[in-house]
Amino acid sequence: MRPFLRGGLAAAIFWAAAVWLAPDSASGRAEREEFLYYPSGPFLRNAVMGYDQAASAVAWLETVQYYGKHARGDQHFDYLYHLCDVTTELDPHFTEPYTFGSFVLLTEGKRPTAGMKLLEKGRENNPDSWKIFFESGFIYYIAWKDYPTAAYYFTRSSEMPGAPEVTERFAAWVSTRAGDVRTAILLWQELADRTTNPELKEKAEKKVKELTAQILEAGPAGR
Amino acid sequence: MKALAIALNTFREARRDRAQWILLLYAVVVLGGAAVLTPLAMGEGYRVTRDLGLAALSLIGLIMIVLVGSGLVHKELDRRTVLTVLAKPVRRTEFLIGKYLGLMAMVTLIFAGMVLLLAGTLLIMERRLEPAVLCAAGFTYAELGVMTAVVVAFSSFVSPALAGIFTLAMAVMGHFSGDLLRFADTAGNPVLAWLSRGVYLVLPHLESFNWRAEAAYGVLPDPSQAGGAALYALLYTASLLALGSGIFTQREFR
Repeated sequence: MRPFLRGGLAAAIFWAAAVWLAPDSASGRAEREEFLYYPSGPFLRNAVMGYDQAASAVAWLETVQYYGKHARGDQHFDYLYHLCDVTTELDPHFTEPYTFGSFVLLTEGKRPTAGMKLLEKGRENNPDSWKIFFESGFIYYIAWKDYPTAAYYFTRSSEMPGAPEVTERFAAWVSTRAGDVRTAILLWQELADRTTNPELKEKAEKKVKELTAQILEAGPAGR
Repeated sequence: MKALAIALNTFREARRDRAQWILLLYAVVVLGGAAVLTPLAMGEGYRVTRDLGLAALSLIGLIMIVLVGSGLVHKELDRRTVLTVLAKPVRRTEFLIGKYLGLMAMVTLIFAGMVLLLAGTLLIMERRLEPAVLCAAGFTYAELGVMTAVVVAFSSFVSPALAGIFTLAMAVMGHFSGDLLRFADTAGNPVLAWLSRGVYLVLPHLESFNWRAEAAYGVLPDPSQAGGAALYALLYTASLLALGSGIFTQREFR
């Protein structure tokens, strides 16, 4: 046998043996992975040595993967807050983790306090982001049914630089038509139109259909 | 002129070592990242590609500098070609500057290729390219200029393995140098504070070349920031090359 073939054959045998004998690392990791997510705290940004943006992008990808896995599975999002917190610790001006994280924690994660904590952090780090203030108003209106606070945040959002005209309209509607299902539909529709996040878009459109069906079932009296 | 001749030779040598293949690695990171990660990023594909692309510019650039630069002088010593060169009326300082310029020519060529790849990918993805991204790339180029000087200086008096390790250590410490200053301000012990300030001044201030976070939000540097960073890079490079030449001049070749 030629030396090249002999070497190749030996390599293939050793590789196959290594693969055969290797412990099933994937299954072992599946159990532990949630506990091995990144550290947090003040040393996090130092630890990434100036590559905060790239680390934040990687943390965001992990967040999305974590969400996808649990949304399709057990519907438990115990570490979502931590992941969004880490992502925004690395890049405090990255608004998507605040809005998406709080939305999931409030609607699917059943952890409204953690979601609101994320939005508070977002408002603190981005005091002129109309999106985060709008999202705060959205959550107060839809999930907590706290209409005066929702109106406050929509008004604040409408005052921010770059805020679209629709924020002002919501501020007015919520003040005058508190609890109205049609306002809720418009809010969901607005979210579906605005977001670039396909998951959020799908959920918002589904909610619009549900609420519209609810109005149609109730008939003219229920509107 | 003599330094330029040595630079040309160093550039050819780096090409013979296939250093340009580093571009392929970058292409895999950027194009692969854009293709694979965009669908996973929930509408943030552009952002992920841009941030990872900018980080990879710096990291892959540093890897290239270490791999190609650490053995730069040692190879000449090993093959005894340094004796032939230095037997001619070529000063050792010129030799080292030539090595630096040659390696920088290779770094420039590959870096330009990497930036073009990143810019092209971002333009294809969303038909937009923020000028701040190009600014961040410019700052990274200055950082690589400094790190090239570090590796050339180390390669003039230590083995390739040590030159590589020392250069990587300098890169790590250079990103932490600002912390030393903060430590000096809070340290109770005046000797410790003085020592921290001293080490801070010696280490390269690599965070001065980090414009990646600003690039993510389209923030452009003002001319004084850009000029200050460029001037610092030039002066720090000059001081390293002077130090390397000083040590190289003292070396005896047998």
